[in-house]
Amino acid sequence: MNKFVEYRFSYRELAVSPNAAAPMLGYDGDLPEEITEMVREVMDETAGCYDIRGGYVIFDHSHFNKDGYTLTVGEATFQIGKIIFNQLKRSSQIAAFVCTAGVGIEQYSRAMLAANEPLKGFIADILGGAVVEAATDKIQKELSHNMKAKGLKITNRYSPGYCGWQTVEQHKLFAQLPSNLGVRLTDSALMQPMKSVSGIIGIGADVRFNQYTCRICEATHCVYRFKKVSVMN
Amino acid sequence: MSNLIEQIAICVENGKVNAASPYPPQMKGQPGSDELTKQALEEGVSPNDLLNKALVPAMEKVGQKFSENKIFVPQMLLSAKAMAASMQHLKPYFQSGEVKRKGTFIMGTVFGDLHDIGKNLCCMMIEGAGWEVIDLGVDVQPEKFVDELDHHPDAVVGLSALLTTTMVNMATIIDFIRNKYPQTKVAIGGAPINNDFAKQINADVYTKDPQGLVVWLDRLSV
Repeated sequence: MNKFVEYRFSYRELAVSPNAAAPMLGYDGDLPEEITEMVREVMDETAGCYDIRGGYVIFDHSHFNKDGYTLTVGEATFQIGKIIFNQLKRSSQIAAFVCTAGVGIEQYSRAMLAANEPLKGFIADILGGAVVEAATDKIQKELSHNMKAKGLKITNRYSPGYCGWQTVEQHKLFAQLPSNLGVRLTDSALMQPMKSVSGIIGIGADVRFNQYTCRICEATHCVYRFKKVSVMN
Repeated sequence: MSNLIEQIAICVENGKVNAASPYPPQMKGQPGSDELTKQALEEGVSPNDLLNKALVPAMEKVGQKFSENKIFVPQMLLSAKAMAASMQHLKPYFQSGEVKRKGTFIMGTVFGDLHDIGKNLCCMMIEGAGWEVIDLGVDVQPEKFVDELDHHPDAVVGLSALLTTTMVNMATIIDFIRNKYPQTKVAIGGAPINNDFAKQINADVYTKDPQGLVVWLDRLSV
């Protein structure tokens, strides 16, 4: 396996603001004051719950096949679908990444739900997602920075379950990643801890990063599309 | 007495749980659904009236406002919590049979899937609509649904899934249930689900939000 570049982040350095949770809580703009207060309360209570880590591994050789829209990386052939294929096809290298917020935030959320504190449980669930996305953004920025030094650019990040790439392909993706990061897959390809993100990023001289890509995707049910949030910052 | 019923309904609609709760800000310091329900029962208000004239209509308004994007999940959860505080006082009357619910709803996230936020939200709204809810939790095997149906053969079943890899398990569960209870109604929901999928696996209904499910359940219970 190629070298896995690992990162660890503290909750504080990610500087997630209450408003980062706004789109997933249903609000278009800023949160109402009383909800902001509740989000801050949950943030304070959960600040010590996180174990945020992740990283990427770069594969120097990749092969794209338009018949079936597949991408072969290492020993795995992914059926990434037309949308992702077209975004990645000019890549000369592929980075596979994984990032997790740890299991603590999930445990807090479940404990709150069980204690008849549904809003706190819900907010914690949303914050866990916001934290792992913020950490993945940082990893992606690091990758971008490292590649820029070599005269290369990167694409947006793409995950199984989005843009027509089937969730079940997580199994193939995880086979390309180190097993000691603390993220495992269930038989149904669900990541545990649940507040984890994995996927691939294209690298090359002729690739491009799009600010907002949801318009190219057919997944009308996707929460990110609904909230008009770019998954890739 | 009707004033108390109105006040409780207002508390539930606005998510005012008790006097100590700072939400909503405009009701700060005032008693919430918890204190007012206790007071109403002490003053002789019928528990049936509390359920059917205060809690159910208030939660119906909440569900309606959510469907119309006038409020969002946080406000709905605050209302659900206020409703639960009232329900706690009604518990003995449910147990004694003095207050009848509309029916029983057995809910679970399908095996292989551990997501529970959406399921919990549905459970709260359905309970608020006057149903007894039996929440089987997450990663629920088909046998567990049938075991529960053995105790509540007239119950309606709800299945939740958030992944394309686990939504297919709904079909397995429905087949297993119908093998023993062919008449059991099954509702499904979750981010990747749609009407076509519901038809394909012989589910009775798919609804995109809890309020849709409440409306469908109410039609069944009439």
